[in-house]
Amino acid sequence: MKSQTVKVNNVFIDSIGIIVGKKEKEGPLGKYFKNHIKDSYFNQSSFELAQKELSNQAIKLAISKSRYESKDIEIAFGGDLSNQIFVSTSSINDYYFPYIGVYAACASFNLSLILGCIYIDNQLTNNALCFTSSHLGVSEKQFRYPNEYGIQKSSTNTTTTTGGVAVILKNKKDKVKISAFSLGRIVDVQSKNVNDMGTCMAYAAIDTFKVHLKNMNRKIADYDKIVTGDLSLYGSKVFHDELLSENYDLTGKYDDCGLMIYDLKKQDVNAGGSGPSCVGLVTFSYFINKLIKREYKRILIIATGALHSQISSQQKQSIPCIAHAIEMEVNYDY
Amino acid sequence: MILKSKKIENTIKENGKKRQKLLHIFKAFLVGGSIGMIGQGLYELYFNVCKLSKDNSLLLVSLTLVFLGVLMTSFCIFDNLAKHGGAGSFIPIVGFANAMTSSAMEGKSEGPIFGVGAKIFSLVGSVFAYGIVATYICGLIYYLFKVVI
Repeated sequence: MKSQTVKVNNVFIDSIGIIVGKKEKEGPLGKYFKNHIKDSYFNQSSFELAQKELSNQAIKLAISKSRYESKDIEIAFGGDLSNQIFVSTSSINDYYFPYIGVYAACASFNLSLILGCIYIDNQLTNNALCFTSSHLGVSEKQFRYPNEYGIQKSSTNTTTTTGGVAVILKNKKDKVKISAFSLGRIVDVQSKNVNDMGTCMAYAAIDTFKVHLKNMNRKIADYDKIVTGDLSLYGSKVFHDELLSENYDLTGKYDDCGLMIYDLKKQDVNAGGSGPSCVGLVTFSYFINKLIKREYKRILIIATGALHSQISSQQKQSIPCIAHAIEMEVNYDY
Repeated sequence: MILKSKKIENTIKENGKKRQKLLHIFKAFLVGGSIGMIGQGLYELYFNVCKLSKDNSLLLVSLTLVFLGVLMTSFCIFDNLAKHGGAGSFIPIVGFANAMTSSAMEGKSEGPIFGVGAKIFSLVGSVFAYGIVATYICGLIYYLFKVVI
């Protein structure tokens, strides 16, 4: 649908705050993460408080690197996986800016960036803070089993990344800009398997990808990388193969953040990383670096979310999925 | 929108199927068998060395295994064992201890009443409920066979 894609002309990345957990720091992208926590509690008494602290620290880092002070931030968008997105909401207790909480499961971060783009590009605000966080312990507790429960995970299960990401967008020119975005549609492939969300999310990613290319009138050659959020080992294969059968050849141009952040052979993570922070951690450390160095010109980030709840999955309802895409490119005018 | 096709259905089925079945069966046999052996060893210890009665020895074996299960769960060891053991580690009584302890630990941050106290049965509650129902049914069958006939 035409209305899904919007071109934006005036949105730039101002600053980034990233903090990761121990496992992510030990992963292949470890050198890109300057801040990390040493244990999963982060000196707090519960995992929820630890995640709140992660979110808070990421925001603080982003503001400290930014040209804006916290009182100059005009609006904030945030979301995460905790019940009623409480972690995101409570992590900005200290600040005075208006806030919109978003929920799109693991695509929450892309959705908050998209909302930031809408606000800035329509000159409603000069800047926007977009943030998310996730914590393995919090997600396990909420969506799966108690953390210490001895259960054999299925090989299709993903591991929620522990970390916080905050990005400040602005309307003043800078090195990297967001040039377009596509909002996803709900895609339901009637899968009820919550242990394999990668596969059903892949179809949502395929849909958004095709819509974005068609509406933007672009070819795969126009992009240096097509990146998906957390499709896991199995979902990313579906994404790649399905598109290949429809004559979209992504060979060498496709990466999945969940597969990049962990070493699947050495680290015990089953089918890769997932969670709302997964796509943000990889995009705003590794890929943004490539864009700043001008090694890549344009990338497409497709974050996917499985929008089920614990009750819906117990009631054996199928999993509705969504994928939001963001196109980022080098700003050669800067 | 709902996407439905034979191809998608097959992909979902293919990706969702259980992998490495043989390896898992073998590991479950090893872990489950070892727990059984430890139990037998404890029984020999209590019955032969400590000279306890048969009933008391059996009771103490279960108690010791439950204690070990709780201890291993609280030191975050059990889930690493169960990752390999699968059914071999959750079928024996240690698995039951783990299910209760892990749920209670998870509820700790919500306080003693709605947290630990309420959550401790979140996984094993159905074991109790259906266990009691099953004993009623078994008792009824036993009654019909032994007493009436």
